[in-house]
Amino acid sequence: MQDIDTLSDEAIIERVRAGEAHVYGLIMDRYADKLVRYGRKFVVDSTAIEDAVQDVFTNAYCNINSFDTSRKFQSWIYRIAHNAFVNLLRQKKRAWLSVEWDTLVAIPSFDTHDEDERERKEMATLIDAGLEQLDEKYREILLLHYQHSFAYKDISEVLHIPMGTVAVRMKRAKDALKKQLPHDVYEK
Amino acid sequence: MKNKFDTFKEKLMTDIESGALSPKPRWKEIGYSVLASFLIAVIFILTVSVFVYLFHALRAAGISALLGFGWRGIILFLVLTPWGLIAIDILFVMLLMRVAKRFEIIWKVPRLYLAAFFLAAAFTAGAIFDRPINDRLVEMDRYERPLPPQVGAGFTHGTIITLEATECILSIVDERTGDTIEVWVLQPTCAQLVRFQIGESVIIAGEDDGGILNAFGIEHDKRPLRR
Repeated sequence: MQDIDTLSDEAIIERVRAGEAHVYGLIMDRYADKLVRYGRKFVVDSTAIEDAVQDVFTNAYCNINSFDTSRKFQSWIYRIAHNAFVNLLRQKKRAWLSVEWDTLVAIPSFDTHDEDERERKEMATLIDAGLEQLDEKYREILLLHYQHSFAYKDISEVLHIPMGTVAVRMKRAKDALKKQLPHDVYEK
Repeated sequence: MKNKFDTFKEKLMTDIESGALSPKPRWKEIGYSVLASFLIAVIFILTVSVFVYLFHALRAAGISALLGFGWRGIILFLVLTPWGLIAIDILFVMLLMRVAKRFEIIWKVPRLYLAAFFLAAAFTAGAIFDRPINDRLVEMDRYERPLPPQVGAGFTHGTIITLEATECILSIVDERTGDTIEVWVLQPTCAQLVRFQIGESVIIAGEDDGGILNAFGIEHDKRPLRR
């Protein structure tokens, strides 16, 4: 029998659905820290983040039957987390009427699996240095791509926006980040 | 986080294993999707209905005839179009997109394209169902007769009482006031006067110039509610 720790998320979810509810704890172990890190870029209050992450796990379990196991579980749980953190943000500032103009039209895009590894590391460093000042939508997309290693397609599924919008937002996010940081930070 | 998380994990697992917390049944999710699909269908039908009514309103008021009067007619048409109905349709489409957001096929398409698609689809369906529905409703006397255009609106309806096609002159009895209006038909519209006869009802677009109507467009009155 396969070691349970080596099982994919999707296989674990299949087993939870089949009645082995105790293996859900593995999912929680795998994602707790990641989701807290993800939440930190939305909200400063760490108690609020921890509470939101707990809600994410509870919601994910309650809605486990709606998860399509032919898809990535990671994108699905991040989508739930995204909604939870956005709701947290909304409680802090009334931003529900804002229009995301870049989702209005189609922009051709390509995924970046073959992106230069060095560039990825550089960007991750830049993100650590200066993400706080960025607009949330840019902050989130950079974080998902460079710190959580999401491909554009996965980001599109987390944020529920077209792939072309992910590509444009990514470019704008990088530009905004470079503009904000002093030259000596990103020239190092 | 670890300690707090461990406590939470323990509690959640206890709740799960004791059955205090259980996954929502699959039929609930399917039910929401069916409900959303039903709502989408209802909103779409409402959007189409508004277009069906809009087509009737344009025809019944004689506004659609203005489209055959050249660029001045088109401008007048745009001014007189009931934009409120179109605004209602746009609101319906926005609502429809909001309800449909739960479906992957919807959020993967840029919103502007999706809105344009829904509007175009509703417009086309409205055009297809326009005559079958509106003609039947007119037959059943379900529509009020629209008010005649206001004096100064840029066009009027009336009955021809004198006609001199070669001189580009005619006179009509204005439907709004019952007054007789002298009309001088501008070129090149004058050439069409041979198609008209005394006693016919017409729609005329033009501007008043010292008591004479300088007409740039004239068409047979085909309003469905004209009696």
